[in-house]
Amino acid sequence: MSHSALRHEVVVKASREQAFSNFVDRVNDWWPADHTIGSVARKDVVIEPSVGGVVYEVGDDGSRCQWGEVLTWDPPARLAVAWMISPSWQFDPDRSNASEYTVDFEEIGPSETRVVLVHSHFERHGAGGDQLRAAVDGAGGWPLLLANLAEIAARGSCSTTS
Amino acid sequence: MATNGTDILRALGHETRQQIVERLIDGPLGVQELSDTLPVTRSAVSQHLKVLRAAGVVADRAEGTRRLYQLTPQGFEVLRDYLDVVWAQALHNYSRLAASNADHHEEKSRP
Repeated sequence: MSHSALRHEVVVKASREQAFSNFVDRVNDWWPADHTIGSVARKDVVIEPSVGGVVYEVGDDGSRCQWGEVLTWDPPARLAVAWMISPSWQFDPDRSNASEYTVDFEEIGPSETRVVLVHSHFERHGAGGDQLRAAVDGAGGWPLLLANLAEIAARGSCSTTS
Repeated sequence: MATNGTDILRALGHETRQQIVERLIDGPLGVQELSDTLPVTRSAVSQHLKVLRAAGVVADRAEGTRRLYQLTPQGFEVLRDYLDVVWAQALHNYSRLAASNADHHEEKSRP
C-alpha cells in the first residue's frame, strides 16, 4: 500500500473541447452507477462550471448530495476538483480534509485527446484523526469502514433533501 | 496490472476476514487468540492474515516470542485503493462515451 497519488490515462477519439465537455457535462453517463454518494437512485451529477463551483449528485427525488468543489476551471485544458467524501463515505465540509483530482486534456490531434487524471493528497482525509478514531470506535466501526466500503458506496450515505 | 484497489476489495470480500477485522477492533491479537474465537483452523487464520497484511489492512509486530496483529489506522488508504478501481472503470466508461459522442457529431455534420 502507498500514500501515492492515483494516475489514470485514456486517449479519446474526440477534440479537446468535446473531451472536456463530455467529462464535465455528462458525468452521470460515465461515473459508475453502483458507486454513489446519495442513498436514492441517481438522476444526475453536476459540476458547476467555475472555480468554487459545487460538484453534486441529484437523486430521483430531487435531493442533492455534494461530492466536492471545483478548484480549477480551465476549459478545454484542465479541471481540478476537491474530493470531499471521507473514508467513511460521508461528505466532509472541511475542504482542508479533502483529497483532490486534476484532469488534464492534451491534444494529440483534431479528433484525438489524451485525458490524464491524477488523484492525490489522500492523507488529508486522515488529517481528521479524531474523526477516524470515532468511526473506528463507534457503532459499526472498522467492519463498516473497511469491510463494507464498496457496499456503503453502492448504498449511498447522503440523504439530505434540497 | 492488478492494482492495490483490487487487493483491498478481495481482502475484504470474505466473511472470515471480516470477522478477523471485527475481532481486531478492540486491540491487537495473536493468531491463536483469533482462531480460538473463530470457526476456522489456526492455519486458515494465518492464511487470511497473510491476505489482509498484503492488502495493508493489518500489520503485525513481535511481542516476545509471538506475533501480534493489529488494524492499520489508515482509512484514507482504503479510500485511495477503492477509488483506484472506481476511476479505472469510470474513465473506461468515459472514453467509450466520448468516442460515440464524437461519431454522433460527425454524422450530424454530414450534408
